[in-house]
Amino acid sequence: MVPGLVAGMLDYEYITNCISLEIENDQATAAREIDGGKEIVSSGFPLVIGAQKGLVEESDLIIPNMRGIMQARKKPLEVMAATDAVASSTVVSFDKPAPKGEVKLIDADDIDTLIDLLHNEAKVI
Amino acid sequence: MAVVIYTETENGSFKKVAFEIASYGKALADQVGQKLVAVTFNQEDGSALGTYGVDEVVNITGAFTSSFSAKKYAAALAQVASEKEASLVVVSSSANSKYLAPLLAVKLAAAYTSNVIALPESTEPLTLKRTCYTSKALSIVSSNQPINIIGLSSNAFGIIETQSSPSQSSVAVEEATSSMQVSAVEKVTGVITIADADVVVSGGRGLKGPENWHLIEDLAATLGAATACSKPVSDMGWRPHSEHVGQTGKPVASNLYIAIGVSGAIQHLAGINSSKVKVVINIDPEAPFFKAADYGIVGDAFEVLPKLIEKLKAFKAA
Repeated sequence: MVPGLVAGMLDYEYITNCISLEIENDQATAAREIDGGKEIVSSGFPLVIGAQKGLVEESDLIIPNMRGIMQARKKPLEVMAATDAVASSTVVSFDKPAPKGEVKLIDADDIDTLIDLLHNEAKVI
Repeated sequence: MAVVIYTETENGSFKKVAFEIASYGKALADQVGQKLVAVTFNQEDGSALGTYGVDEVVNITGAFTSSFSAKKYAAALAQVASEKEASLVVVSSSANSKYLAPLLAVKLAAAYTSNVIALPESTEPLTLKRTCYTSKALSIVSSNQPINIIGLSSNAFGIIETQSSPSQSSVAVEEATSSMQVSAVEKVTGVITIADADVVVSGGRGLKGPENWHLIEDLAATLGAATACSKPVSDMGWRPHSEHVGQTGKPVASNLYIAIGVSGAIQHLAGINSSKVKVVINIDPEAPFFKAADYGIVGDAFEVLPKLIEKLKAFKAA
């Protein structure tokens, strides 16, 4: 939700659930996950990317080492004051989901019982 | 004043989720005493929504409507919502709806509440119940904005039929500018997607390899179900990532979820706990999934599955 709001407020292009990204000159080509597949889109800049797991291959993930951490400390750090945005909604209270009943174990040789339970008790098949 | 809903279509017909959104929209419109306006894109025939109590269908036309663009769709929806002086807009939890909802919220200066699971507890101020912390808890959220967008959780409200005869109109809207273009859509065709499925059959590492997936596929085909998998399975490349369900994968909110050879790691459970009935088949009686399941079978998947498929086929044929 946050990347979308950022893109909306800035009126930038926006790609969410992004799972691959290639940038060439002034054109970005990205894949976005959709229900049941993916969509390949190309876009100009400025652009906000909402990343999804898969954007970086697990083998390419870099864990910061001590040298990197020490080097990062020397980089300039600019502190900016936050704008006084007002939240448009507030949480009134929290609730727990209804407690779940115990699992009904069915014998591995008694598939008929399972089908019967799913049909007559749970009414899902 | 009206309640405006975004009813999604695919290949010229409404998605199942559109009917749930319409059912919810109808109940919401009755609650606030307003009429219900459905917005569609490039869908000439909106009469199917008359089964769910829609009063008016506004179809947005124009060359851009042939493929989804979050920015353009959000701008178009905002125009219609403003014209109808809507204070309530309802969208679904589909990938596209979640994509455009924040953009729409900015356009309308509205509050957007996602993962809503019920009708508002009060409308002045608008107070909604939603799931949070990957469905482990519920929160009651109160909005202080005059315009609100409600993102309804899939399969939370259900489909309720209410006959109506909606008036239908087509409108051309001012098209938002965007440099984004869709160049290709890679979609598995002919199979049911996890988001649309009533039943989801999921396999884990217990199946030992991709060559054994025919068992999952057979079971899914018998039940008319979508196939899914656990994270290790997609990480090892046995199945595509689009089938991965769990906290970092797809959320499942089906009526029936059958997990085979999935241990039930907490991250997996986070993605599937919105499903209504859970069946677990696992050889390990200590698998944590049994604690989250409604029905369980302790047994070898390679023995249980062929029997289950055979019996289900007989049951379906009967």
